[in-house]
Amino acid sequence: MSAAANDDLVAGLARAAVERAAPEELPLFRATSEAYFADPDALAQQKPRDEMLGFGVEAAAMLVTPVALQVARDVIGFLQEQLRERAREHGEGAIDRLIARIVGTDGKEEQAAEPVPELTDEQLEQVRALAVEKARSLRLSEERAELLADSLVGSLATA
Amino acid sequence: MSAPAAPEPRRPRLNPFAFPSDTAFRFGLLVVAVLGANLYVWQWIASTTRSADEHTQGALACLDLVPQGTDAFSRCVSELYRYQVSWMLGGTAALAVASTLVLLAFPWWIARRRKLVPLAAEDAPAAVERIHALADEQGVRRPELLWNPLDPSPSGLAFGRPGRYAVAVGGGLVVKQATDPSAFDAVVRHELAHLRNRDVGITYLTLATWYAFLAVAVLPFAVTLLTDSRNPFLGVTWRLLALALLVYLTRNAVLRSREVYADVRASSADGPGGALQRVLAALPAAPRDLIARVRSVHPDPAERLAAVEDTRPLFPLGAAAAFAAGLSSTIAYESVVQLLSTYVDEPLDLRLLAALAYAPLAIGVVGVAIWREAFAAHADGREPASPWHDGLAFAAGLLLGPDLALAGVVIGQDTLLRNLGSAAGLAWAAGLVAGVVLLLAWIRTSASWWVRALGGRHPIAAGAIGLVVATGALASFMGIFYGLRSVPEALSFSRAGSEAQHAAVDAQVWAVPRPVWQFVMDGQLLVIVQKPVFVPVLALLALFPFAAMLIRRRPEQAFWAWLDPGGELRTPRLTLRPLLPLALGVAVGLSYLLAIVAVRFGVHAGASAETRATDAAILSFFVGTLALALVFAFAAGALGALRGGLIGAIAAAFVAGCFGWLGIVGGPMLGGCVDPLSLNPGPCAWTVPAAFSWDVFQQVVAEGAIAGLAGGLVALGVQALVRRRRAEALQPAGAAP
Repeated sequence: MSAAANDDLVAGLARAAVERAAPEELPLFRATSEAYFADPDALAQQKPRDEMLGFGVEAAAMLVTPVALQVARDVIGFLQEQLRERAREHGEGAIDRLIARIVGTDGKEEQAAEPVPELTDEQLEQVRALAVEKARSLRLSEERAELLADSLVGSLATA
Repeated sequence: MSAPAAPEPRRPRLNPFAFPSDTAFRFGLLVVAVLGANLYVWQWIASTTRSADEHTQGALACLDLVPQGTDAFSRCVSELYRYQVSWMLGGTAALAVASTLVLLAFPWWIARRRKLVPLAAEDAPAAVERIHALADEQGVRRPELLWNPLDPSPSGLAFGRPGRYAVAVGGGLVVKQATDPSAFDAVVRHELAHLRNRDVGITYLTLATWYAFLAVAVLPFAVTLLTDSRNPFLGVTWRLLALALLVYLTRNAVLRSREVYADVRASSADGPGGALQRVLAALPAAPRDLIARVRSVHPDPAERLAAVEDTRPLFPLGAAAAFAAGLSSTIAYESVVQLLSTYVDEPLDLRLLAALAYAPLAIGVVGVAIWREAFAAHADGREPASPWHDGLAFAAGLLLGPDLALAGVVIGQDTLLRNLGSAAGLAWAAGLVAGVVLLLAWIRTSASWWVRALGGRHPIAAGAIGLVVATGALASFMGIFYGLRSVPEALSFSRAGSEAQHAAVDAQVWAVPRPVWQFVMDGQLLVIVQKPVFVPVLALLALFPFAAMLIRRRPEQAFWAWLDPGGELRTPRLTLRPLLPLALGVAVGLSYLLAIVAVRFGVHAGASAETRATDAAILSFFVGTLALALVFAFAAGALGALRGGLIGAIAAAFVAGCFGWLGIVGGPMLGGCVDPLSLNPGPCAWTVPAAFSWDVFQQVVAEGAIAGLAGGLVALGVQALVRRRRAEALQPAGAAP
């Protein structure tokens, strides 16, 4: 899969999660995702700083979108890894089809023609744990981290 | 069941923006301290461009001129080291250029480090529109807007350079505009307040000067140090670290105070129902450990909240800031002295001119704060705080500065601090502390009287004049103090000279006791009091506070004094009682005139015309009448102090001194007109030359002020003792209170 296609997948999953977890951030999603994909490592470098003539140090991050993008990126990577084995059983295009279904870019005809592997409950739980841990590490509050993880898992489960 | 008590209404807050902030002065002092250190570094570098042989040859050539007089020798030495001036000025120019470049680069660097991009209207139209509206509301030019969409914090940042300021916001804050508009407004108002309070330009200018100093001065300095045979590396390194620590800690302390001012400014527009307090309360508490707290550029949220609730704690200065101001004033003082020494030979003039580089800023820090505090105290109906703590802290900074100065690497053997162990050193230090505390006490009383006299009108003009006078006084004091310390041999010579003079006169005619003679005729003291600035400064010190009596106004509403509606000043009116010391000075002065008449009559009757005509008798009479004038000034000071504190003492002594001058220089005319009062025959006309008359005036008034101050201190000491005894008599030890 090309990098651009992978970015589309990450953006799709993140957007789906933001729609559920923080819909008020959707107007900024385009600008935020563009900044994120321009320099994905920049988010990890965002640390609370006691800046001269700033307002003060915040304990927790207030913005979900960048965290959702980073978490979505990790989740996509995790899914790709997890499904690699099952891809051998269902064919090489299964992963792309599954993830394309998640982001809503799949066609009905394709669905009917090719079987798509489903995520097991255990895998969904693993995704949730991964999402919570990552969101916490990016200073999202406990409550928001849980909400984001649930939204992501919800997006995957209902895809 | 009783109803819950209603919350106590908030007291109307005093307006801290009604007075100049001390921020600019505190940063200004840092910049001047760094400039002074830069001067020293470039002087050092210049000295390495010539060999030790060249220096020795030059010094020997100057020594050859000693027979031609000290002026010729001084000129030769000045010219010998004048080549260093071009290096010092060149280094200053290089520092200025580098500072400008750093200042211009700061916004670029901040934008790059924080990955900021322009915030266009299409990115977040509502947020951009709201920020523009808030900028208009705050009365600041709409700043350049930047943001980092990935920055999740609901925070902002004001930065930039003079003429081009920017506000950066995080993506988290932009979202707040939709989810919590009042919180968004509070944070943006805080950042705009930094622009309105002019924090940005001066903060980055100070930092730019420091970084430029590291690049332009410290790097080449380090290279020359490594090759220097005197091995001064350790001495220089710790002194540079001390300077760095001073800059760093002062910067952080000032920034913390500016955050509070930005909060207060923001809270004015935010209103009682605004979200600022809620947003501040949500911030995490500051770390408890001291290191983390001094490193922080934001105060604890609890402190910020308290200041928003009540601005009164912002008015006094605090001992730490006063100490830093003192330290900054002397840490590079010697470097400025070195720069000027190639053009100015006279030690007192040299030190006074160098002090003028620091005194305005030092007074700007401590003096403005004292005026602010006086206003705030009277507004609440209480007395202004005593200047003791700030005065001692300021003096401690002045004491420590020379020990931390780079110049101390070479000439640091004779600092005040190192000599504290000796009696002489202790006396010098006590003199410095006393002078500084007295000056701050003078500022406090002046401020108090003027604030009360103005009856609610803004004291900015009176404050400015008072601080200019205080600046002149501090510069004169520093000039005299450090000037005298730099020429201890001159003091010994002066003492020996006056002692010899007394012995010569005493051998022929009666003379006042030697210690009195030495005080009156001390050569070094006469040099000081006859400096053109000394008497004008003294006169202003004596009379400026009393000028407040001339403009006493009725109390009126002072809307400018409050941030909130409903404030009412409780400033007491200034009575005419403080004029009493002036009246006492007049009374004592008239008594002196009567005494002079009696003395003249006694001398005329008691000594033969031949004796009276000798030089020794004329000199002895002159010194005796001067000494008598000082005794009356002492008495005037004592009486004035009982009615008006130390300001009353100085004022009463000054007025009495004016009469003393009249009695001394008017004596010959009086004797010419009334023969029984004459010392020697003369015309019934004013024949005293104007120059001599002016010299006598300066001597009587200046020495009279010293005597008056001493009298005042004695009187106040006795008064305190008597009051204590009375209190003890009324309340015997062991009795229940």
